[in-house]
Amino acid sequence: MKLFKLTLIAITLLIGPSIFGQITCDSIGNVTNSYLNTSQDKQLNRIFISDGQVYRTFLDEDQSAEFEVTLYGGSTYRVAASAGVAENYLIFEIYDKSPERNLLFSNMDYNNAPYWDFKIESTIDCYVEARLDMNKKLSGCAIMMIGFEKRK
Amino acid sequence: MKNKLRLFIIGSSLFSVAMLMGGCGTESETTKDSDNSEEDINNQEDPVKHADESIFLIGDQIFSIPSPVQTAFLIKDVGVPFNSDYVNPAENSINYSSNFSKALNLGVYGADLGYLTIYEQTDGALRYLKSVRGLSKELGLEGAFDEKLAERFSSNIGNQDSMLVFVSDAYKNSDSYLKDNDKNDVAALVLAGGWIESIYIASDAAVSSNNPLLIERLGDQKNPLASLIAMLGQYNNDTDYADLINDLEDLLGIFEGIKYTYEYIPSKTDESKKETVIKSKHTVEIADGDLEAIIEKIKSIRTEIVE
Repeated sequence: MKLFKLTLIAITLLIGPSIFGQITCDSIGNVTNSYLNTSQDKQLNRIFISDGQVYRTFLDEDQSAEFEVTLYGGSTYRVAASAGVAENYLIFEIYDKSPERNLLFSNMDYNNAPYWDFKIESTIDCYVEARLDMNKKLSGCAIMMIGFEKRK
Repeated sequence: MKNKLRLFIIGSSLFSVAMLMGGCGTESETTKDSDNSEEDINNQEDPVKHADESIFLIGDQIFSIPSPVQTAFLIKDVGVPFNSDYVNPAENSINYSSNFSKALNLGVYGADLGYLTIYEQTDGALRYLKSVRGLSKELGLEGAFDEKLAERFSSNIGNQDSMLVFVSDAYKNSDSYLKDNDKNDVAALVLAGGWIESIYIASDAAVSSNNPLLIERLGDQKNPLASLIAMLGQYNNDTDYADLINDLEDLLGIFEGIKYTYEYIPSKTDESKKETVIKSKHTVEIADGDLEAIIEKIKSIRTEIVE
């Protein structure tokens, strides 16, 4: 019986961390979703409504994903991003769609913040680019979501 | 005792083998801090390398289509009254026989549901939710639009914020489910239906109100429309897709006549609020003839979908 318990503990110690350390793309989705409406937003009575899409990709070393998005003037958007349990695995940048491709925002300037709000004065077509921070994670699933703020 | 021990050893050996085999069948992801192998995207197809080797995407390219709900908010904000003629009658939902028309109309009804909810048409919203659930069930998406959603929606009648969040989340869940299960074509059609319906409602509202903000919003659709065409183009393997894409390309052709200007102005960030103000300026100038042509074409595409 003692051996039974010891073996059980050994297996739990051996396999447990790998099971519980596993993080699926779905769970990353849940993490990303939690950034769209945070507890602080509730306190401030702010609501972001999802655009109904999940922007998902698998990123490997030195690779990036990009998509175009139109942000309407007079709106506030939240861009939320996650690539795992830590908040700061994913770098995302927003560029305008002009030939110069001006950088409008990079979360790298803010410790790879997992979400950020964008107040849009005039409708703009942009590129959203995402890549893993190679100092923190080398490959894995990355998910982004976009929500717009409902006016009070 | 010996038997128990033997059983346990056999059991744990089988478990360990199963774990190892499971690990072999999944994508791995690696963190810089450890070499932990993590289970990843079980249901996704192999990653596809694109022409630009630095961009590496799963399956299909990523496209973004603006939320139909957001356009419905604008229609209400500018003071256009509710009009039940704008939406596709809920009872039409039983008329769609192919998966192509079901998926498109699931998007159409989603946009209608958002429009009704924003205008606090609660009885109508419940009827449209029923249509949405019917179509989603036929498309195998009942998990996203389940009984629980219907209950949450019904019990929050009068709480517009919650109702909109539930519906948007349900569409987001269905988008995720479809992409997980290699049904990106269906996901694309749902988005297409939602976009077409929202622009149809906006164009009707623009005609009735002649509101410049609504007209500008129509003009702003060139880029989303181009994304929509590119997204659908990935699945252009039968006449249904080809006809829809041809119609949308004709519509895009009309947008070519619109004059756009853009001036880059540096953004301003308030780190304490985690907010950046995008200050760049953009203008849209639409000739009356182009506006009429856009409205006519949208109406014709939408009629094809709902009838």
